[in-house]
Amino acid sequence: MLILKNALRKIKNQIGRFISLIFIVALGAAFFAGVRETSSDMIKTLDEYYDETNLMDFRIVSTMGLTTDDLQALENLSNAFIVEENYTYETVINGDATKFYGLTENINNVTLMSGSYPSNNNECLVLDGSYEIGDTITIEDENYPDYLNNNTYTVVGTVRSSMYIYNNLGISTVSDGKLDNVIYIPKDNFNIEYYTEIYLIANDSLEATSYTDDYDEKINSLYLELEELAPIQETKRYEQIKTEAMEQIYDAREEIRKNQEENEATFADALKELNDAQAQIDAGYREIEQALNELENNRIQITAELQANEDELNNGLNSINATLTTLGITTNTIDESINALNMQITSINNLLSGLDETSAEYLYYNNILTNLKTLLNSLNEINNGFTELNEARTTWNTTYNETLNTLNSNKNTLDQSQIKLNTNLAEYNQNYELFQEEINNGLQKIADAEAAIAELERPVWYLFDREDNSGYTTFLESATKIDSIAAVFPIFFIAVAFLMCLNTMSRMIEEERTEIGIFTSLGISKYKIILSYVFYVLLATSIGIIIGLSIGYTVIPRVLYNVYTNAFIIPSLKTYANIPVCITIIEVCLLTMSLVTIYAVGRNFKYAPATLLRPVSPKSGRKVLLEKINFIWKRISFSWKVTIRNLFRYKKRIIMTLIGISGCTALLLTGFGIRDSISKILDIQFEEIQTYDAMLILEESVNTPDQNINTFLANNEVANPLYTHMETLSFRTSDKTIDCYTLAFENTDISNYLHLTDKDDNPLSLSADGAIITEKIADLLDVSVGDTITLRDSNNEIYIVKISAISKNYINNYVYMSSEYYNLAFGDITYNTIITNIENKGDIILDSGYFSNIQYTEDSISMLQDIIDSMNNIVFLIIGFSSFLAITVLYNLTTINISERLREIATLKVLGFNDKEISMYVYRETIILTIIGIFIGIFIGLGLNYFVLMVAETDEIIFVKDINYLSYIYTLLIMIIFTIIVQIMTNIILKKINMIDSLKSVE
Amino acid sequence: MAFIEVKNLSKIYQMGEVKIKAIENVSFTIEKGELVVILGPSGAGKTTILNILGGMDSPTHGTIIVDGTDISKFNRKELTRYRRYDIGFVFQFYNLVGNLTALENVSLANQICKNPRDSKEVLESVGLKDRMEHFPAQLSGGEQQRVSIARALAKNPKILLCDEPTGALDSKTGKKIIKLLQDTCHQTNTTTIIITHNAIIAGIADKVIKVKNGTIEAIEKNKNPLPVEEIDW
Repeated sequence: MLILKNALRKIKNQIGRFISLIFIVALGAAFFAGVRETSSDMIKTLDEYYDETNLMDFRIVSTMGLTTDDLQALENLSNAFIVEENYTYETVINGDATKFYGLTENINNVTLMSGSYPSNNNECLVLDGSYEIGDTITIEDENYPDYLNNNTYTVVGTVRSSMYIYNNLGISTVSDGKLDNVIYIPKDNFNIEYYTEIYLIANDSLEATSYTDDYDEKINSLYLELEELAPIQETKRYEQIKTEAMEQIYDAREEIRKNQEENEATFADALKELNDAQAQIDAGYREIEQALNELENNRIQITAELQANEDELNNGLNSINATLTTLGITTNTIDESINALNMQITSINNLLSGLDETSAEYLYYNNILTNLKTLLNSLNEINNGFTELNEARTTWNTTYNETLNTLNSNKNTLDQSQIKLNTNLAEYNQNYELFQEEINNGLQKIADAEAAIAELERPVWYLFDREDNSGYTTFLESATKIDSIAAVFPIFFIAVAFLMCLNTMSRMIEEERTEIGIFTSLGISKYKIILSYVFYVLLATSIGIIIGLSIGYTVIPRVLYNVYTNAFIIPSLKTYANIPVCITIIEVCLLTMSLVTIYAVGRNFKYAPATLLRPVSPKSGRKVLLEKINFIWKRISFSWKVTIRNLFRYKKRIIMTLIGISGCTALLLTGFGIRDSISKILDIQFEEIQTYDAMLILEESVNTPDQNINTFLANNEVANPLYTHMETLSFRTSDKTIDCYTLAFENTDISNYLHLTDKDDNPLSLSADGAIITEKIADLLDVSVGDTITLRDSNNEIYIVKISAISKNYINNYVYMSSEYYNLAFGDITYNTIITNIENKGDIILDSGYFSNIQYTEDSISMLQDIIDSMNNIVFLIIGFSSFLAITVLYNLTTINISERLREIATLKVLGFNDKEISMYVYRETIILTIIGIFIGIFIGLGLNYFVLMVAETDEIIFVKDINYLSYIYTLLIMIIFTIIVQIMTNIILKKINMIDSLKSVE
Repeated sequence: MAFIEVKNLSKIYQMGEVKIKAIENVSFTIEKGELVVILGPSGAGKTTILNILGGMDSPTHGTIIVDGTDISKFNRKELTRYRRYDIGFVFQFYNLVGNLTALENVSLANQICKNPRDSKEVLESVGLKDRMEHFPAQLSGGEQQRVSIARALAKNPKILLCDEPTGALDSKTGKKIIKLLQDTCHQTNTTTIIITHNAIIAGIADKVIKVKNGTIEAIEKNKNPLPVEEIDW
């Protein structure tokens, strides 16, 4: 008990030593636990997130959609725990490839971050950080009704999805191939006949921790079942589709036949009617014709007859007139002749009335009279004849005209009918033609359908698991990266902590040698004595471990998590105290510290107590090797000679100081180096390699440069548009799929915007027989110039590309090629993008309608800048810890150095050394060691920096491994500042050293 | 005026509530070139007197004039300068720097004073001509004390202060050291003050200052100091 009390008193008396011991243990434990724990915390956090949101184990997509039968079959699988179907729809909105998902209930659930779930079919959820609540999203594609009921959605909430934890959402089947947005809408908004995808969760998989072998085992039996089921369902679906198509063709054909049957008859009737009408019209015409002919004949006959009558009458008249002429009567008309005759008759009658009836004269005149009367009769007859003739003529003419009129009017009527009929006929012909066309179309469709059935491909099920989700795998990679860093840094810290402890304890025990001697001579057992020191150490270690673990399990994992998962959209880290690791750390610390103490104390017990009570005979000084090189040694000032001699006196301390200082320097340099590298790649990538302002995404792809667009750009002083085909493709390494941008240029001279060089900075140019790929692709696939690589689009279509050169590149992966080579490797090129410098004309360009979107280089820079800013955290963490370590180490070593030489320093004080000289006497060694340590540290730092950057590199980034001169200066400055701080602390201790101590006997 | 004039010197240590008077009203004078022995049992206050004379401590009261300068009110810096230029100190336990050779230990002191003596000569004069390149651990106690004396002398001090110089030595070697000190004092006319509890040594001194319970018990002048050879240990 007394011994423990003694130990406690030691703590009180030398609180500095105790605290520095605590700090050293705390630092070691914190870093060890923290860095070690981070990756497992990360994985656990994510596993919990996956479990909460029921992240699918498998996702099935079919080339022909999935049916309720498929769903049923999947639900029946014995290893399927949960099965849920869903719909998706991909479209381009404002130039962004956007994917719509139905809101699921059981698998791949989203976590609401803000707002609320959609309450009606015009509301949607978006991934956090894309749209704002209240934004309206309108689908531009006019074919949307084939997929969705609505085309306008209001954002009512933002979500996080375990399917999309990486800010790179993956590839899309629309736009430039890069998925930009994900939108969730109620499932019943979809208007698709078949399910687009089905998700499955395997039995027990939620209990297993993601990313572990256990998880892989748990999902494997379902995987096997799925592999077995896929061909069956594929065949079923194939046959179903084929049967349905065949039935449809049959129905169509039947329909055509009926149609033909029914309509042909109708058309025939109509045609017959038309023909009859025509016949009637024709008959009418004929009748009229006949009547006209008859009329004409009559006219000719009657005219002739009348003419004959007239001629006869004229002949009679003429003979009468001739007789009359003999009688002396010449007149112009018949009436005159009659009058003349009548007058002669009257005169003869008058003559006769005076004459005897029997007289010759009478007889004569009577005879004449009779003749005259006969003449008159004849003349009257003729006159009547003419009158009759005239009447007959008039009658005929009337008859004729009337008949003709009638006939003509009949003909007009017929003409009207004919015109009408003609119209009807034309109509009929038109209709008939249409009908024929319709039938032919129908037949063509059937033929097409038949051809399609003949060519019908079997549906293919694509089976995706979590490993196909780039976020899921990238996350593991980040966690693994931390582990590899975890392998280096903590060991370093632990090693330093261990050495420092050993050093402190040995010194303490040396100082207390006499005390140990007294205790032993008093008969206290050596175990009790050892116990008192072990108690002291364990107390310090325990406090150190508690502080260290509490920092290690909270602060460090959070910082690392935030830095490494900056590109992820995931819940914040949950820290778990990993009990086995905890126990290991505690055991290791306690055990090593105890062993160190037991060793340091125990070695004293081989001496008799009496020896312990006597002072240790001083270690003999020794000349150093340098003294043998006389011409150098001669030139060194006396105080430096002393320093050099002293340096080599305590080799253990040299080594520990060097380890401490060089380690801290290395860590500092690494911290600064990491920052340099990252900011440097930004400069190089966007100021030396890619010098364009923006990529203008064309509203419509063109096959050749568009004159209108060129004119528009020229009018707005946007020069040298480089027409480009841009597409996101992917390539596969042995264990993952990595995206790359494929760019094919219309012009082979791209030096306005891209400066491709090989690793020796020789400029590269595009060729017609191969593509230029960037360094990282070549590294990942382990290929070189002349080899080929396989690229895939989102439909898993494969393209083989030959490598013509490998270009230096730091951010993202690119495949560059000429349009000629694109035509060769991919088929006909279309340009969907223009690369150019637009300064600040973005609005004008977007307003032109030629472009759907502008991708600014500036945006990429600022996004990367964010990552760099967050990397500063890790740099500060490293700098902070190394600074703390540096100060602790320097302080510890210096104080031990002083306590070992207390007497010597007191003596020097008595001899009249002033404060500065005494400080220098002690500190000269530290300065030399610091300088050497810094130099060694810089070399270690270069290596460490290289290693850390190699580990930190992702599939999309290459770091420049050079360190700026400024960083060396910062490192030096910080080390110098630490040295000064420690010197100040040391000076305080030195000043306190009492000269009277020099008079005491050696302890 | 005497070379060293100590007047009414007191040193009181404040230990919490308790005041401990280490020395009280101590007065004496020492002439230049004198060999003085301050004699007293342990706890008498002789070490306090030594500390104050040596510039390692300041008195609470009283003055102490060395070669015309009052050092009792010296500050830290002035005391350092005083130790540096005026005092040569010989320790009971030699206090050599273990990592330096005999010669280097002497040179160490040499580095800091204005008018040093040649290290080798001094070492020769203390009889260590052949041991100069040895490290302290390789030297006997007497030899180490000689180095210590040489180190003090090399500074060419006004006062040579010796704290129990024979305390850690056997009588034979102790005698040799005392002889060395006496010879040096006489030969170089260096004021030498030896502090000891060993009354026998008092015989060789020019003046003996006896201290008891923090006060001067007696100051005795030896008209004829004994040569070392004649004193009996």
